[in-house]
Amino acid sequence: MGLLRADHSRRISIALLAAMAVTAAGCVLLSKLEPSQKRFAFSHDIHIKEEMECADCHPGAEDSDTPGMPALGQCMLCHEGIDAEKPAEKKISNLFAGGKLIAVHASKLDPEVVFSHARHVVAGETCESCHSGIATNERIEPEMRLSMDSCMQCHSSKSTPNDCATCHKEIRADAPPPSHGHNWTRAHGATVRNPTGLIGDKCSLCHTESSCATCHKETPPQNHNNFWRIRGHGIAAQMDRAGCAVCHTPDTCSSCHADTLPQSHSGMWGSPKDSHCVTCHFPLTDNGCIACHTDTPSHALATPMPPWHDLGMNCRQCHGVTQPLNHVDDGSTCVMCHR
Amino acid sequence: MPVSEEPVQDQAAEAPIAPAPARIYPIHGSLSSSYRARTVSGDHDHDLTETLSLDFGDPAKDAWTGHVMTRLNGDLDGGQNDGRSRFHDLNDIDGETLVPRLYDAWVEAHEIGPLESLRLGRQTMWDTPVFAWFDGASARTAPVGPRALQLGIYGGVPVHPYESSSSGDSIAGAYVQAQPWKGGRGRLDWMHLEDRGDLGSHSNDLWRASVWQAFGKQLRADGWFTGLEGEERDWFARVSWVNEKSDFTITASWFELLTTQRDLAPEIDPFFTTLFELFPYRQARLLASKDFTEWVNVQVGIDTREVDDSNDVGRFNRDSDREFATLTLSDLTAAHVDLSLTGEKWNGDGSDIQTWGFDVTRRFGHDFRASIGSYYALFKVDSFLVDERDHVRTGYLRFRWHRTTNTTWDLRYEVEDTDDETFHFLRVGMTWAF
Repeated sequence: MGLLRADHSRRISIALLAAMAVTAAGCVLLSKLEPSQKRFAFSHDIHIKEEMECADCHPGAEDSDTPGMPALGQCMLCHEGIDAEKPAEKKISNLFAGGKLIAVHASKLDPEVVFSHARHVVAGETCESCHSGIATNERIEPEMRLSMDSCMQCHSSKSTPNDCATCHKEIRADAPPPSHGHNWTRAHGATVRNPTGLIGDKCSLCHTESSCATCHKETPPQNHNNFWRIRGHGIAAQMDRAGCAVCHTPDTCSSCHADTLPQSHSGMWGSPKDSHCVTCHFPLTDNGCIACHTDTPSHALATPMPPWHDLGMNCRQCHGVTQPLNHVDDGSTCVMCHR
Repeated sequence: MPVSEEPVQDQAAEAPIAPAPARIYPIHGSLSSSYRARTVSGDHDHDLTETLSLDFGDPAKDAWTGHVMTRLNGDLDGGQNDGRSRFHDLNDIDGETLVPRLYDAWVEAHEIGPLESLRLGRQTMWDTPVFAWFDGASARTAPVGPRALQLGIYGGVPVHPYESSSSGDSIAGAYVQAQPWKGGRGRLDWMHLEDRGDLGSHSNDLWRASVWQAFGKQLRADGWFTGLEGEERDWFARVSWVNEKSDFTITASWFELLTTQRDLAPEIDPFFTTLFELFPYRQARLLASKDFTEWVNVQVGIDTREVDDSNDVGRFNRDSDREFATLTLSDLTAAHVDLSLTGEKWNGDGSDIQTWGFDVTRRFGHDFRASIGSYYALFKVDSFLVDERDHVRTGYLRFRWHRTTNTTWDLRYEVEDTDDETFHFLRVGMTWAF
């Protein structure tokens, strides 16, 4: 723990804040940057202007589940002559790797998704219904990828089934997705606060606000058993009260402690044996009596704190050093008695 | 404040979460009923609890939606209101047999002019600098422009369920948020709290600057800086890396309280009246989870907390370390048996809490699950010259049955053996989702 307490901690804090600021600035800068020379890309616009049909390159677009992508040989039927006079970097073969169209990933669906082009064509949809602006598109970008939002909006507007099973083989509202693994209960907060837009981040697809409240307001942790309620929670709260504040807001402590006797307050605790005295005066410990006993008579005799003092002062900086201390310093908070 | 995402040993998996209901709009929700019996030598407590959660309408389609969450606790054997019962708790403070709690009750209008939403009623805001639970109104504008700029305001009377009067209490706030660059979000919050109580009045202003950033699909970072009454209050930074392919998650975070917190509105520090000042401290956390095969998962976590000035270390401001580890073996046999082992240790200036436990769960199809387990806790308190050790051993049996798509039954029995006494606990509950 000594690693944390040092004068250079403040410098570490500032350095971390500075690193975050630099990261944020870098993100802004990167988002503004564009390549000085764009890579050669496929243009739908040129091909449509040549009066080609979608099905000329995507043979399954109208009667199969998958549209089919053009093969290099298919393109070369026209481009063999066209490319002969083009520089090497402008040849159509640059768009292929291993005989496959490189850009195919831009619209590739997750294998878990069920989608049929043919069914949509039968239902009267055109290519433009989903691939908006494709006829004038000049280069294939990742942004062309269809989003689940657009699918759901269209389904909703046409009263087409919109439940999970309509498009997904495995994902269901009552079956957690892969992201909800072993660590999810501890780690989900970060995703809730900053969703990236991925399907797995869209809590509202399966959960409502009541889902949050059910856990966060009604379900106690496993260790909150009877011992915890009676005694254990006090020990844990002393070590990390911030952890309690996740659920316990805003006035649970004072309300219960105001009328619940501590477990020690039984038997000979009070008069005539007054065994409670020894809890503070021997062996000299602070038992937090002041939390409830704010006006204990015998303790009211303590010298009040001088008016020019305030609660933020460190009493021991003077008292016991340059100023007299008329009793043993038991380590307690001085203002418990000297108020 | 450093919000741990979940409590120490969460049992969310065992929570009475309603099975995902078929969203039969315009109303859906859940109703949970449970009976709880607790006994110990010479003392007992029997309670009935009803929890109702209702959602009205579909935010994607309807102009108005609403939400209600309420709970009614009934003490079958009379209020444990003398403060001496072993089962005296928050429900017994008023000495009433029936204790209702209204957590949320709001209606929300969508897309009214420039507003994306206008919410009226009892509501909870989770993303404000401190949780805001209040009766009042909140409004948020629709995102504007390519930066998705949004403004929000809220105000009302904060909910303090155990206070006799809300006179003099108020809450108000505003925020602006935007997505100024790809994968990033920034937010600026201001919050004003007024509180009048027996121990004095408070008027506090809080502001916070927050930023979130996703770097691709796997790396996320977020952080905030908070000011209180014109002074710096705290700051927080966290980085999370999640790789679904390798089933590896690692999260590291840092929190630092910069100024002493004392006597503030209860939303900012609800524990002052009991635990007194909270002195500046810093806290580092590390959490890692890894699936080694399809059936072996290991989670480890380390927290370390250190008070800024060693002179401030005391009973309620401790240096502390906490470590925990959980090993989970899933589908051990063809009978769908899961085994998990958990150990945890807190160490705080002479006070220790050590726990370990195991859980064995067998699933019978999709509908029935039975668990048996035990955990042990050792509380060692050595504050100055006091030396005390408390041993707590708990054994439990749990059954969960999805009787139909919309109904779930829970049965839980626990026996808790401490050094001085043995508690017995029985809970039978049913949740109906509709």
